[in-house]
Amino acid sequence: MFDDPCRIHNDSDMLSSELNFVPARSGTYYVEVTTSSSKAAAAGRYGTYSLQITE
Amino acid sequence: MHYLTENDQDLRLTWSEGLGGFFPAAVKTWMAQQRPELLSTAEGLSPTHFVDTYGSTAGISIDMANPNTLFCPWGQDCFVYSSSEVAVVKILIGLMNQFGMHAVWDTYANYMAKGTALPATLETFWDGWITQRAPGSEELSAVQAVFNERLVFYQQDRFEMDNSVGMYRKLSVCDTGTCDSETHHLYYDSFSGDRDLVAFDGIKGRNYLIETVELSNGADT
Repeated sequence: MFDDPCRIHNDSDMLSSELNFVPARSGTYYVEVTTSSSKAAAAGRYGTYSLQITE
Repeated sequence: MHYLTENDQDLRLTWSEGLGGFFPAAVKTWMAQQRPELLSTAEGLSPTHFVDTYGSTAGISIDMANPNTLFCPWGQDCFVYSSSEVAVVKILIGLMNQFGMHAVWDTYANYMAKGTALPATLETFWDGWITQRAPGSEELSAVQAVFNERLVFYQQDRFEMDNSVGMYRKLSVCDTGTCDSETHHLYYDSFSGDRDLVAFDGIKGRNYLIETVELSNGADT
């Protein structure tokens, strides 16, 4: 989500990710989080984030 | 256009501006200690005080070692994260005060300037510090404390044993509005990419929103 390609904000949500998921069956599912393979040059290889899952 | 109070800047910008803010502070600190007669800093000002003039007017006047949070929105400390140029300056000053200018300069000159193709950022400086100095646990803790004080966390998080399926744990699914999240640092040992695996119990047909939030220090998930 970039509002300006010359001004990438390393803020709380611009470089975040989200997805909606509806399980086809009940069970244990896994979420994998890594640094984006196509990360913006203005961003980092490291950094801090929080993960949350909401129903 | 960028401002000293911003903390969501391009990491390459914060490094270049931060190094530019640090270097005169380092030189003036040395002069204050070794050759005070050469110092032109106004009386009463710390050598770490940065003044940028427009003509005869001080356009910017800030002590980089102790930036005044009154400049920040709502007075909250905005000089935090690797995406803040003032935080970068403050971290470099902190390292200089603890380990000396040679340690800072050696990392810059011998790793960043000619030892890596990575972009010039605080992250790369950290990599260089680890590579050049191979710090023991005591130095590593001291260096991390300097970074942590500015809310920069180049270290493993408390969930770091989550890099494979066999080591997973479950995160509670929360209701909208009352959500417990957990904070991770994308850092595993030195330099290697981090992979966080989190499990949760999903129930058939229900809709789950999975999201990374509260990103800082240039995290791009």
